[in-house]
Amino acid sequence: MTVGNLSTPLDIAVMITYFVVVVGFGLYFGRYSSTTKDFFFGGQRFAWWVIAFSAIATTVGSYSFVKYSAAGFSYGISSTQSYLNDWFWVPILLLVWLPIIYYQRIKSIPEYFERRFGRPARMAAMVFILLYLVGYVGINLLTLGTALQSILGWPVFFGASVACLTVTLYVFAGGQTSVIMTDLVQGITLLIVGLAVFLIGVAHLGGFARFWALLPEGHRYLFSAFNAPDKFSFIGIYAQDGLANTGAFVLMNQGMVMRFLALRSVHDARRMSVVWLLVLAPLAAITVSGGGWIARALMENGELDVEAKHAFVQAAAFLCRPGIFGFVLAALMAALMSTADTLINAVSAVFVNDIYRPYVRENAPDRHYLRVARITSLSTAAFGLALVPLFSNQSIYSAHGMFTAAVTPPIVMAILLGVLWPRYTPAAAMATLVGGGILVAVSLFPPFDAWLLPPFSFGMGPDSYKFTRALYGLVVSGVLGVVVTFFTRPLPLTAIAGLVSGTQLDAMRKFKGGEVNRRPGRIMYGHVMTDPAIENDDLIGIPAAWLPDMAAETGDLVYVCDRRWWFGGLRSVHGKVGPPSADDTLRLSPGAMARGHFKDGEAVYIEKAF
Amino acid sequence: MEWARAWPIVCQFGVGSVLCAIGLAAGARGGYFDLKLKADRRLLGIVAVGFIGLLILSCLFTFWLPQLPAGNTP
Repeated sequence: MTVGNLSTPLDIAVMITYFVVVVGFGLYFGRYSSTTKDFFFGGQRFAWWVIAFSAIATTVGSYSFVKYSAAGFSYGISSTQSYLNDWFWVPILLLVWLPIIYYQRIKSIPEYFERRFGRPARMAAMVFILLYLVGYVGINLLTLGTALQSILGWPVFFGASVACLTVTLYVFAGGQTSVIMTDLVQGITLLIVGLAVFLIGVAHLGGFARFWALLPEGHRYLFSAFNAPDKFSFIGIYAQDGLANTGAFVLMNQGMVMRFLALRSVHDARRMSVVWLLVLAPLAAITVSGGGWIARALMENGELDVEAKHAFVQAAAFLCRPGIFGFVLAALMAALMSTADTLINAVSAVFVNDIYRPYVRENAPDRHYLRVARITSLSTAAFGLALVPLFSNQSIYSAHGMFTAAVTPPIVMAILLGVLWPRYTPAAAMATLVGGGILVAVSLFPPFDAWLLPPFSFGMGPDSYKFTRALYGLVVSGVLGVVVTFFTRPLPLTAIAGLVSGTQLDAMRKFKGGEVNRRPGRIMYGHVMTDPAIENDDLIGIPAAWLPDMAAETGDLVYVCDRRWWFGGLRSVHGKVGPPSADDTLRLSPGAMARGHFKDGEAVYIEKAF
Repeated sequence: MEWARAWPIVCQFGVGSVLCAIGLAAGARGGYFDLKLKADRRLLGIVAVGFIGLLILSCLFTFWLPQLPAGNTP
């Protein structure tokens, strides 16, 4: 059964309208992108809630609705376990990794490797990350093509091409700014639609008690059994998702790192992470799995006969009226597009920052790099499209699983050891990346898999290997790194200050260009005016009477933002406390006013950046 | 009650507590994570609340709710 059999022309019209609205939205916000900082990091100006919702759209990947609804149908609420094991990474993310990359102004993961370990490590990390990202672009476009085939009957490659063109259009126009704003819409859309399908299903069945009673008992556990079944055991899911994939998502996923760097401050990153992981991720788990649970309950109730892989779409089609089902199709498209746009922008950032700028043309004007970034976005999309026929040869799920398992553990372990352990050496990082990568790659092929993986498979058989390979990869990569570290000479701490734990304050000092003032201060509200006498765009004239309340001193970093919250930080600017203003308005140079998209007299607030 | 069902909780929250401890210790080393600051105390509280909340949720959906309704029939 295809979605095409289930949808009406009205549904298709709703979905196409959604497509057009999202693209229009992305193109509109393209006007906020005039520098590479805007194109890659959204001008580093966004509020926490914008990034939290957009991150959810990225988290809910192209395959999520199909994969997790199928798991929910087959195994019950344990399908959510992948979304509930991220919280434990929060301290490492917020207290170690984020302050380092944010305050060191690190533009890409390979750049961190060069600054921490030297150029060879950067090259190795770049190869891994580009393979990871470009492979993901191909997989996403294949999924998009497959979805459009089942909805509209188009050939897969044609559907992938149309979707690719659509996404590339707004990524080309606005880069990260357009990606964030479209993903904000897409994140809200897919959460609302997914939760609505679940709640409509529960209401149809007669309430939560009836829904719960209809699920088989084995479907009501939050975790699957520790080491059974082979294809969905707790330990397999935990090793792959809870350790390797979540580690990769917060540490090495260039798209997510760029999303963090688009936040206006590290303080906002804290708020965003809490809401993202503690509120939105559990909601997203219900969103992507709920259709499968409802399909199972409907089947147990004798109302629907359904296959696991079609659980979400068939349950939604059964429950929704024509037109409303169109929004379900739109949510599927939202999940697909919001991942693809992030990946394309991320590849562009890695290419420009790690290949073009250091090796092809250094010290060019920013507008030149912006042009290269846009061309790279187009090229990445085209290359990803070329991969679609290759990825068509295997199932989406296994291709994704194998690829992820092969490339992520070595790089996650190298970053983890690199930030947590100052003694970890450049040679050890290379051993982790290259040696770990080779050992994981070897384990992908028989008979090596049967030799290497059983000790990590907790008594399970070969069907568990694609999950437990992640644990094997983390262990062998980590052991290689630790052993080589003890036989090689570490870098002096002065050489890696600001790049390892224990030196985050050094990174803050470097970011500010002076001693850090962490005294808590108040947010102040006022109006902004252009002051042509201020020649330095980074300086902001603040009424002298405000400084004690703000606990700010001359030279402190501050953030000025439009008071209308719904702009989400789009109209804002960073600067330093400059000479005091003569009246009770904030004074900005003409350049800063343009950068912040302010007009004279606009109501704004100002706060210390940290 | 299947006590073998407790192993995933032990594993997830055991490894999770190690990850949290590593992050907090690495944040505190060098003074970046400073409990004298209100924002950092609040963050520590949120991390703890999140951890305990997820633990309670996991226990509820492992030891109690799966057995409801008794008899396992609609």
